[in-house]
Amino acid sequence: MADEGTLREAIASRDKQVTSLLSTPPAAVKAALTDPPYTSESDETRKMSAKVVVKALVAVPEKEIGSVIAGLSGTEQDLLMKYIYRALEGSESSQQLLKWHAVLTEKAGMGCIMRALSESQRV
Amino acid sequence: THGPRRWLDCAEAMFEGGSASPGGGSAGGARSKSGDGPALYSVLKLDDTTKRPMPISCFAMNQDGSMVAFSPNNNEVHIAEVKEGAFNVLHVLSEHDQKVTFVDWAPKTNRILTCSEDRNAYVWDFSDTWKPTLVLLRINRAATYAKWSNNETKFAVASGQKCVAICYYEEESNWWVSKLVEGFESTVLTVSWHASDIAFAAGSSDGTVRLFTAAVKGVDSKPSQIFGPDVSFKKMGTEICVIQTNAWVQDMAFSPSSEVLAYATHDSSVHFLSVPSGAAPSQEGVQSVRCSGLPHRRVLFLAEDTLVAGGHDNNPTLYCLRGGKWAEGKKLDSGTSVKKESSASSSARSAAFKKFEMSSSQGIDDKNPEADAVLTTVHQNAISGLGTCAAWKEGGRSSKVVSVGLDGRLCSWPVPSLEEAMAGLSIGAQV
Repeated sequence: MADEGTLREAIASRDKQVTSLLSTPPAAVKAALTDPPYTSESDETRKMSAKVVVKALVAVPEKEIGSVIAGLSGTEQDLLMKYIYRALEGSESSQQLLKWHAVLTEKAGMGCIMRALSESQRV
Repeated sequence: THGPRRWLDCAEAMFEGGSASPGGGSAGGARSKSGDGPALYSVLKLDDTTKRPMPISCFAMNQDGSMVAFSPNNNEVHIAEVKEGAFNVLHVLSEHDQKVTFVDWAPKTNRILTCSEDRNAYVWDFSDTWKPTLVLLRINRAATYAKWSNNETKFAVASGQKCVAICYYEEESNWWVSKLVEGFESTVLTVSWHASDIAFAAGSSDGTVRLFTAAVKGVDSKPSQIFGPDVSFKKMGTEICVIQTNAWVQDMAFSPSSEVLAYATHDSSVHFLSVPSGAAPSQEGVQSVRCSGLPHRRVLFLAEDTLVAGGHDNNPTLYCLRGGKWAEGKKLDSGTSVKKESSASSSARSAAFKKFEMSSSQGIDDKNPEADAVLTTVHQNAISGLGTCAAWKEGGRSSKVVSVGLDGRLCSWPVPSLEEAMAGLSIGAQV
């Protein structure tokens, strides 16, 4: 059980990495999807992590969403779906998140949603 | 008559025009719009009062595919013979008090095993009629699943009491004895026997798959150490291994050689556990395949390298082994056989009826009722049973598989070859 401090540091460094990669959207999204805080016990930490992912998602122009998703592996797609649901709990960027959700469902199928809902490891 | 083929219209037409067969079983099925294609499906049983197809909760076939046993989601089991695509119900088995949850037909000894929510199981023997023998499972919760062992001298019944009842026939008492195998933390949903019959696997809603020993003195010959020296078969019901999954285990099946245990879980995945000889299976031996669609409810091995799974997608999907890796293959229903009919000739009354019925039963709003009124798959609801029989096997491969669903329909599918099933599919659906 890693403590919250270590997890938050990891998220902060991931945040920096994503910010630096924002010019190349596919790389930024992949970087944001690394190292999810599964073991965290704090809602704050998870919110921070989701913010990093949303930052990367929002930077992708609408036309390129499909190609970014196509470049993700199966596990990364499932993780992205989990993050989308986590981020939709807040009220920011809902429109873009719903757009991502629609394209991801089309590419990965309803199975992806089922896995996001039933995974015991929550993002 | 090429008007709107709504369920009620189909059912009325079939019942009025069809032959008067015992038990109200109907013949044939709806035809595609061209009118002269083969019937896409058959309806097994119509409800006597509403004349609508009854959902089939469980299903089994006999050895040569000439007879089927099914339960129309109530406490009865119907035995029907198959004649030229029509199903004539010959016997109705109605000993159970509550809903029948599973039916299994032993191919060689021709006995039927049924289990029900009334906490009982019956073994049925045929001589002029089907005669039941009650099996006292000694459980105080519903029985959910039942399977004959491969040599048909024992059977396993899964139950909501978090245990599996292994039953064998005791000659002295002339009685089926049940021994409970505990270890699960929630309802056991499915059971499958290892080819050796001295071990079985069970899956539960606690998200685990467990293998147990099941060697019974007097019924089984002396067991060999098939799982290595660490697994002893002395005591029946010893836990061999525990495999974790993320969701309810809906159904499982051992491959014909029992080298692989396949199980479908409710998180839209199908997993393949390698069961080597000489060692107990472990978590590392699991290959997980992510499904593109909704979770599967039933799985069935058609060959050593091909598995068919059907469920909430209403479409039987093949999973194939190639180069040591399992992957999702072709879906048996291409989605092109059901033609959407125009409703130009529908009367105002039936159109209004349809509009409200669609919105209450299927959640379709009235803005565009025609678009989603009929699913593109032949099955209009989840698949609840899959079956194949020895007579359809050619060289260890089944050439035909049958699926039944909660829509009451039975569809028969030809099984493509391995190359066809995997053609044009990327291996991208792997974890």
